[in-house]
Amino acid sequence: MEPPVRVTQQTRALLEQMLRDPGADYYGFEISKATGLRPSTLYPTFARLERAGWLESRWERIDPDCTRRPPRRYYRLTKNGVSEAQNALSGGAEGEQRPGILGT
Amino acid sequence: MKPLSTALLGVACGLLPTSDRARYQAEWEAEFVAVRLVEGSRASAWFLMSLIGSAVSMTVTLRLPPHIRCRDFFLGVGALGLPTVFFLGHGVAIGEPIVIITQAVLLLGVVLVGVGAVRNDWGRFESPISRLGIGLSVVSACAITAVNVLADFDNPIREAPYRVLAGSVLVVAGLGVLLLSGLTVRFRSTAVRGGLSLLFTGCIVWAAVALINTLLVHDWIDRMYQFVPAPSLIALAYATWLAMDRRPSLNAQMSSP
Repeated sequence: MEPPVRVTQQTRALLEQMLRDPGADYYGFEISKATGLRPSTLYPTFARLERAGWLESRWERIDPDCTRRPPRRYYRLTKNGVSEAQNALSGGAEGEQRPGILGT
Repeated sequence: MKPLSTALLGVACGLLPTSDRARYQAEWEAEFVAVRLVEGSRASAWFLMSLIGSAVSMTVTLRLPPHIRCRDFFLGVGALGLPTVFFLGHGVAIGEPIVIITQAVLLLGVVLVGVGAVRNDWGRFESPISRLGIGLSVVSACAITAVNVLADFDNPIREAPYRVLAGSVLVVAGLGVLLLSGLTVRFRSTAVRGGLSLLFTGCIVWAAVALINTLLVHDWIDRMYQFVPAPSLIALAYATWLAMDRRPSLNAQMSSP
C-alpha cells in the first residue's frame, strides 16, 4: 500500500486544476500557467503524486519532425487519484498526513 | 535548443537520481522548447532557471517517501546540523582536539541519520546507515557530555546558571534504546516507544534549560552558546512526537511477515 500524500496548498491548487476535467491530460507548463505554480514547485509535486499512484504519465504521441518540437510528458489523474483528490479537497487540512522523524 | 540551454538543463538533470535522469531531461527539454515557441525567449529563460532551481528539491523528492515534504526534510537536517557545525566551530576556536573530534563524529552521525532517512523506504531508524548514524551520535553525545562534565577548559555550556546534563543524559539514553531496539525483537515495539519517550522528554528538558540560560547570561556569545541548541532540540522533540504518533502503523508493517 502506498503511503499517504501530504496535501499542501500547492498540491490543492494542482489537484483542483486537474479535477476540472479529471479525464484530461495535462502537461507541466499548462498547469503552471493555469495555477501560477512555479516549475520548481510543480514538478516535485507531480513526482510525489505519481509515486503515490494518484497520477499517471505518458509521452505525447507526435512526430517531432512535423511539430518541430520534442514530445511532451502528459499527466492524468488515475481512478484512485480522482477519488483521493476529491476526498483530500473536501476534507481540507484534515487530509494532511503527519510526517515522521528528523523533523520531516 | 541552444547549446547553453542544453548544458544548463544537463547540469540540473545531472543532480537527479540516475533512474529518473533521462526521463526528466527529455520532459524538461520538451517543455522548454514549447515555452520558447509559445511565449518567447524571456519566458523560456525564466522557465529554465526555475527548472534548474528545482533540481535539488526534485532529487530529494524522488528519494523521499511521498508523505514527507522536501522542505521539512531540509528544515529537519538544518535544525540538527547547523548547531553541530556551530559547536564544531567552537571546538576549532578554542583549539581543543577532543571537542573537535566529538563534534565532528556527532556531525557525521547526524548526516548519516539524514542520509538513512532519505535512502531507506521502510522506516526511519531501521536501515543500517541510520543505525550507524544513531550509533555515532550516541557515542559522540556520551563523549560530549563527559567532556562538558570533566574537562577544565573554558566552557560556556558548563558555566551556565543551570546545567543541561539531565536533558542530555535522557537524549543519549533515548538514542541508545532506539539503537538497541533492533536487537530486542520480542519487545521491539515497547523498546522503540520507550526510546522515543526518553528522547522526547530529554529534548524538552534540555531545550527548556537552554532557553532559561539564554535569558540569564549577559555576554552575547554566551547567549549564542546557550540558545543555539534549543531550536534543534525543539525540532527533534517535535519530530519525535510525530514519530511516536506513527509507530503503531510502522510496527504493524514491520511485524507482518
